[in-house]
Amino acid sequence: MCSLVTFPPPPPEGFVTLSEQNAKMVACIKSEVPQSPLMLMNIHQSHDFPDVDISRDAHCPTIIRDSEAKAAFLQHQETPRKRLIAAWYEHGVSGILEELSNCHGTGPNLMKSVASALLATIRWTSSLHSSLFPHLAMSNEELIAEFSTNPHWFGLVRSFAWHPHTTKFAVALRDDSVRVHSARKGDIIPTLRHKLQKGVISLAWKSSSASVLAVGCKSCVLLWDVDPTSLATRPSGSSVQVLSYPGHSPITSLAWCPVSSLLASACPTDSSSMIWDHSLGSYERLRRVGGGGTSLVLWSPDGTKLLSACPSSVLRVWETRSWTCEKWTKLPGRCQAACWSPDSHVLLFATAEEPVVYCLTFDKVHPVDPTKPVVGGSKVAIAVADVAQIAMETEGTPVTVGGLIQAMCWDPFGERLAVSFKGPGSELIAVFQSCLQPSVELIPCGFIRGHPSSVPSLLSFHPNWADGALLTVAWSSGKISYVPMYFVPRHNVNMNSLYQRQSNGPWQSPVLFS
Amino acid sequence: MFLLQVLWWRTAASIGWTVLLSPVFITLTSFIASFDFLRPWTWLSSLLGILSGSVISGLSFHISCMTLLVTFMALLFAPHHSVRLVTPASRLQYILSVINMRRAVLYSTVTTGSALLGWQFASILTNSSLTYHSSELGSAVLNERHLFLVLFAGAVGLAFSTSFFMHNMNVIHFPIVQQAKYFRVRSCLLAMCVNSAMSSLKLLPYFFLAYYLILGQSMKDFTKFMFFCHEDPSSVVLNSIWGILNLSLAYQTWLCGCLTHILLSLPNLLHKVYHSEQFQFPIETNVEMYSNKCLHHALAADQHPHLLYLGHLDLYLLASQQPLRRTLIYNLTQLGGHALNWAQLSKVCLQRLEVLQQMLAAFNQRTIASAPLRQPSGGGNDLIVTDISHSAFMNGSTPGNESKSKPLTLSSKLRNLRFVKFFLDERPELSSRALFVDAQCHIWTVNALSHLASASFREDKYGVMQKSLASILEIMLLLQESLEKHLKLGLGSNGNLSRASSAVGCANTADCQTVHAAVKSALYRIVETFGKHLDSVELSTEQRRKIRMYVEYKE
Repeated sequence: MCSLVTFPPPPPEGFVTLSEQNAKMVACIKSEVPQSPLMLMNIHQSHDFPDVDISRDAHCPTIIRDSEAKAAFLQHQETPRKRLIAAWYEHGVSGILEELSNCHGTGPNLMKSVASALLATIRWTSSLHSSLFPHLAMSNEELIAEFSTNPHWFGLVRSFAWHPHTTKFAVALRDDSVRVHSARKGDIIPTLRHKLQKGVISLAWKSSSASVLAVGCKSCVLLWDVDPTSLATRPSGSSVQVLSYPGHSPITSLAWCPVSSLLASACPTDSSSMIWDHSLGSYERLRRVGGGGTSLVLWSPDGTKLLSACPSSVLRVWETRSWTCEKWTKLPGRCQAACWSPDSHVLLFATAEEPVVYCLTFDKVHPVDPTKPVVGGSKVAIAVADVAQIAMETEGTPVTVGGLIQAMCWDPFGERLAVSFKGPGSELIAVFQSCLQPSVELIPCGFIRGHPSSVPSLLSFHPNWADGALLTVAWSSGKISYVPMYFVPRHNVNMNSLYQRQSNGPWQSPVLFS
Repeated sequence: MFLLQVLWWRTAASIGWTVLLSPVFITLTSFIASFDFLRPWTWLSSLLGILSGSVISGLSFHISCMTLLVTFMALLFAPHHSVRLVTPASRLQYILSVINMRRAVLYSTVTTGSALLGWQFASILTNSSLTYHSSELGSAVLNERHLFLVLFAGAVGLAFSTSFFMHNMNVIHFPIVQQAKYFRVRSCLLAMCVNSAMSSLKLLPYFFLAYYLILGQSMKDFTKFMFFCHEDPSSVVLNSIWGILNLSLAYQTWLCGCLTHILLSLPNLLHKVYHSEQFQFPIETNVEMYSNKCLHHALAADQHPHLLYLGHLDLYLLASQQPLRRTLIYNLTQLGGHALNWAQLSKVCLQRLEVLQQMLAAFNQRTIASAPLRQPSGGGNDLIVTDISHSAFMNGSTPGNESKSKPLTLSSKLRNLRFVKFFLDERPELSSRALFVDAQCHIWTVNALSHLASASFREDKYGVMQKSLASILEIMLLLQESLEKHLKLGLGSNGNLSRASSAVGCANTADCQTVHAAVKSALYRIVETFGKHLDSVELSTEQRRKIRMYVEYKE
């Protein structure tokens, strides 16, 4: 098992990591950083990447923590009775209970606790959970902040998603608007706003499409059709489709099936996760006893498996042909982050309670009947990396690295794994080299450091970058930066040797026949 | 033969499960009905006593009668299920379709059947029969409470059977994910019970009112006449104010209605779940018995819509999820090395898409031709409607035209009356609905073709499928163009009435927009796989330009 002790020391404070070249991190002092880190890339590619910094944006959204309209008005001391009546009109019984449980210092403590207990009971009965889970007593905003992979959900950037095929990404900002930045400079940047688009936590682009973007919000899922040829900066409400189901909110995670038009959504207070069909606008509920809701859904790259993680210590993997599932219980905590290998046979995950990266492997074919779909794999998750917090020394100054894992992401070749942390070591991103054959192995590569006093919020790899892997990091300062990693993927190396070995014999190549 | 194998077994299985599940629901409801609010513990202990067996045997006669009735009604409903959502064009047709003869027979039978169900259940509930012998009067006396329950059950039956057609509950929707039947039924059962409880509750006040105003006296008289019995003068009459304000009666009535509704919707739910399950058709066969039951036969089974849908669903699932069956399609025959399987499948699929495309193009052409044109007349603001296809001026508003127009016949005069127009006019949003009756099949076909095409990149060893890549791309591009035009003409919007509600899954109605979305993502799927190789596919210049747009993700 690999641990952080064997890592090369991180760049000292004041340095910024620029790129990685064949497993060597390149960093330079902040004052010498080129105007745009894009300059480091090949000339032909540099103009292809949008340079985004929310904080220096002219339209930097004002700091409104509560995005509801009432925040725009002056605080007026209403009598509790009036507030309760207002809550009743707006949200019904659960609104009253939420209001009662939220009244700080005004009401008696007993009433407050009774109200929050009732609220939990209502949620519990409405979702028919088999046991009581603590997260059901949280308010929607707290739920979102708790289950978001973004530790700075109240910060400038809320969510980020690369388009699976082109150089284009969507960013959700603090004011719940979503912007779509595309490759060329000077292109129009559409800003998506909708009255239901509140508390954006997740963004996902549909595969096999140029324009469909799913936005997971506090109350529903919005499907935007962002026409790439349109000249409108504010796409109209007619290009939105709203998907909602009573009791299925807030939505904390969204995932499109990479091979069909199915969208999976997760909600921690609903015991079932939903599968929506974009083309038909219909849905199906996936429900199994136990677990208490779903906090994270993740489709494997070949679309044959769907991970759904529960807010308790349960993890399920669905096989998407007959939709049976395999369950892993007794995790040390809830699943905080997870990623699939590009061949869909390996799942890496980390829990919220332990600084360890676990690995689950799945069979390639069914051991008995090859026509049947596979779901079972390893019975027990294997720990592949220990990222417990340690103190390192870099140029004489002590640095804390590691800790509980916040987010993980794996590059499309399965060669690099980026891991961000919670707590004191959170300003560094650890990068592992990974290898899937003959068994899953993580090898230390290095640390990435951003501009001083900025902490990584969101990690994402560009889905199809030819020269290796391009890590995109949204920093807490509102800057979105790119860290190119140059390497030759193992797959290509193996293919080259295959060409040589079989050059005399017949060779099946994936090329067009006609 | 084909139908027997696929559909009849499914109907039989769903009815079998109805027979097994109905007693469970009946027993459960009668336990709930006997719940005593004031003495819950005595209720619980009596419940345990019942479970030990003594009372169950007493109930078993009623339960088996009810199960028989439920089975009979399930059999009645079975032939009314359909996979196609047929939307009548005008309001008159809609009304006629709801009250046609065949359905009227069903309504009356179901109403009677439900009333009989109510009769049995009322016997369990009140522990008495419709009439009893009174020693005071010395003759049979009508049990009005019992009659009330029976009538309400009948009312629920009538309401259910009419809404069955009005809300398109007879349409079978195919689920988007292929879960096991057990889980599908389980996830729908609770929703079904809640729905039953709500509809029974909604009907209750209307029924009370109807009973108070008219139904009560007439039905009592009728029953007294039929059963030669009298009214008990000492009891409170139910069609009076005091009779109605009886809470325990309301509770029992609601429960009775609830059970009747559940027993009617349960077979419906099971039927839909069984019939929307995937059926794996053989792709090729050497067995004589199956020689006319292959997948391509099902795909061409236009006279049996259900079979057609199952065939298309199977094609889509095999193309997207089953690599082993997919290889059968790319295989060559043993003798001669012909790509027979692919040829048969592709012929049916491409033809289906071609027919849709041609019908769409013709429809678009007709619409454009009959569109209102603004004539450059001297300052007049009249809108002259020109129907080029009929080459006749139809507008009578300009004074010059009035003298030329033919004298209106009586029937055309009638047609122009506002009241008649309301019923006869075609609803504009539904004008192109007929084209998309089988849109679900088209979506499956398009998706299946694109999945087969993109899988062929790695799996098609003999280049069987790639020979027809050009024709697939061509038809998809043409179809996409026609659909886009259709949408731009404002014809593709979906009427609200066509929304179907069902307990299984949710309302999914395939229409122009959904087909359009499906064709687009199918094209993207092919483009994603082949990328720049598509340059070497033989296409016309215009289509090449379009494909380029897709390659650049600009569509």
